[in-house]
Amino acid sequence: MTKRILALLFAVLMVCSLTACTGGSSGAPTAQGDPLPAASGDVQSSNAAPDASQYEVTQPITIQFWHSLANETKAAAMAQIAEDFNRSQDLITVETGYMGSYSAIEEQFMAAMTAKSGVPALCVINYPKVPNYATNGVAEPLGPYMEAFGFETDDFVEGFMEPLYVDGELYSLPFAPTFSALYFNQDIADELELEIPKTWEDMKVWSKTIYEATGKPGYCLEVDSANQLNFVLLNTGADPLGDGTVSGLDDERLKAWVKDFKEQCDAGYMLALAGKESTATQNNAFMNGEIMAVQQSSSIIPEFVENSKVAVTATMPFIIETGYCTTAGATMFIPAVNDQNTKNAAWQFMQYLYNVKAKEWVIASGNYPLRKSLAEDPEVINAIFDKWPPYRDLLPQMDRVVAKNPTPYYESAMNVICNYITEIMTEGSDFDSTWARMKEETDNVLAGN
Amino acid sequence: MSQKSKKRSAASSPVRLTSKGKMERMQEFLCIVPAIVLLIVTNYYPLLNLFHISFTDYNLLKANYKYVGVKNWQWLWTNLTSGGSILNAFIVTLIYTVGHMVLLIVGGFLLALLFNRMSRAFSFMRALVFMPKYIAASSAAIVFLWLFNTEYGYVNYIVRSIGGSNIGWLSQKTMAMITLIIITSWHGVGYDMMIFLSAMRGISKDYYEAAMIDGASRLDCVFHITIPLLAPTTVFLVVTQFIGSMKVFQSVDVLTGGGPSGATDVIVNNIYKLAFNDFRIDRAATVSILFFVVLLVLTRLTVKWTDRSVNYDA
Repeated sequence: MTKRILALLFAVLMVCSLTACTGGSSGAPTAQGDPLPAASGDVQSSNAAPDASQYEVTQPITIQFWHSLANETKAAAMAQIAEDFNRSQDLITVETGYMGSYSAIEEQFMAAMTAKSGVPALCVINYPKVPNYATNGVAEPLGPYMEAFGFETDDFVEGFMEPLYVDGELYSLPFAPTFSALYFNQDIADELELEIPKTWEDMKVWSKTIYEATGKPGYCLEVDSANQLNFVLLNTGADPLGDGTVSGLDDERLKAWVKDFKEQCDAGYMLALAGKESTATQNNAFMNGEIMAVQQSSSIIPEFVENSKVAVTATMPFIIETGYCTTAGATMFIPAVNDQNTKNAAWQFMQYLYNVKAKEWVIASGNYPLRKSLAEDPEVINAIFDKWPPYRDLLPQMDRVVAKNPTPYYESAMNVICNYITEIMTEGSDFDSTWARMKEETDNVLAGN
Repeated sequence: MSQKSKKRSAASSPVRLTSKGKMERMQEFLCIVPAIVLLIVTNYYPLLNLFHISFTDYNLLKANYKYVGVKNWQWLWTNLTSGGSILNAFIVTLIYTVGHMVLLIVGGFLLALLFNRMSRAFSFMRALVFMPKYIAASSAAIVFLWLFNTEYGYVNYIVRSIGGSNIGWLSQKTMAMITLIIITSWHGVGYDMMIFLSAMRGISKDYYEAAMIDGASRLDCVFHITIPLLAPTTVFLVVTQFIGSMKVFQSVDVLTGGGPSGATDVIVNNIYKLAFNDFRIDRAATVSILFFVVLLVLTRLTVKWTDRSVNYDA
């Protein structure tokens, strides 16, 4: 009898703990019909031009800015900018904090969002996530703030801004944008009297000549890197992600290029790398003169210049001569879940960073200048273009930086494509059947299944 | 009255407790209440909540969720029946588990047999074999990631120096699984060795002496005395290592990330990606429930099968 009573008590306790913790409004997302508690002082939407006073900070506040600046110099520079901002006014105190890589910062951000506690006022996230964050209401639309304070974006590099618009609304600002570029070993080009390639056909000649002279591959591509592979495939003139709902993998240009690249790799002229350490392997091999051309993010330029044993020349990626590349890297957004005073404080710091401290930040971060006017500033030219010459090679081609496919399933879909193309390149799988499976699975992902 | 019927009647008649006895029972119960609460909060509640989440569209990016019935289970069924990523993950996990368990149990047994002598040198060797267990799996994986690097790894350097060519240890599908099993087995074989050693020490020497007198060879002793008498220990290791192997994640995440092309995409890695890459907590919960049930059934079958063939009386 006692055992039965105890067993019944157990069951009741478990059921109670289950029902008590579901449908609640604290500590977990609520069931539909249970709206989130309204933030105090929420700005009411209206059709009238926003009044700047709605976005002023009215009470003293301390806010957190989470970034992914692993480099100590950059992190210290950002902390200094925050310190300068804190001294420039009395109400807002900004505290900056390094939270790890993009994926680490995202995990912590999601945990804070779910717990509804400790959500930062400002956070960085990488470009591919912005459409997802925007469509799910995670990121605050910046339009009203910009309109209220006359914040103009005409001076920003179009390619850095375009991916941050979702349905005509801006949700984020570029923080440390990067783009893909091709890097060539200038020493071997001089030695073998080769022109730096401008088209894919040039690249094939380059690679074959170098292989026959040195036995080393002329070009390397990380086939399991979503960004690198996407850049290359886009440059065939076709988008592997199609219109974002159905893939463009039926396009014969994509198939032709992959087949061609495989032939080049099988002959030893080019190299397809895959695996967790492939980025570091590729970079080290290039800097040591083992691979003569690589495709990599523009953020690698300082490392190539400072550590490479060979002279480096950079160009925009191409397959066809009018090729282009898409933006990646970090953006800065305001989480929408915070109360209005917090969001206002976050916007004030954003304005300060992009208006007052833009030049200081570009020089400290070593990234390509966010504002076009900064690219002509002598101090920036000295700090960025003179110090790291490959940036200068890329300067005339910045109009070729464009937005990625805005589908919220970009990463998942590209991961599928990477897996199958890696299989084709490294396992020697049958091309047609593997490509058909790739198309089917990619279409499934883009359809949201 | 027979012994059995006396026992039966004693068992069926309830013990009448005095009020003092009841008080003592209540005190005993109260002593274990904190542990029970902890168990409920950390084990049973999450499990029930997972089940609940599997009927919603809980997404980390959305503030609210709604109930969607069996939509997630339909998605899982479609994925499993059409050869999708979840089915692939289960197959990969089972392949890994079988390979890992064979290496651990056979390797652990052979090492225990080898080092089952009391000498300084052998004590040192035992400690050496057990040492990897002190290292965090993810830390060890990072070191192996570079040792097995295709272009710059030390292992391929040795292969090239003896006339071979670079092997894609972690970049080719088949090799990636083999390499993963070898690395994780290196990490865990010391534990199995120690368990087998302790059990071997418990086997009476009389059996071996009697066998020797009857003309049995050392190999006969191993097959007809040592292995049968170690059966309960083997069962224990099979069950525990089976569960541990099925839940592998750290090494996979560091070494391969589930690649290349899903060749090492184990089920826990899949659940992690669903939850934290795709933010689909609903689907991650659904797959977790299925994984729990599969693990429970397989473990139960393993225990049942081994119970029949194991003699615990020795």
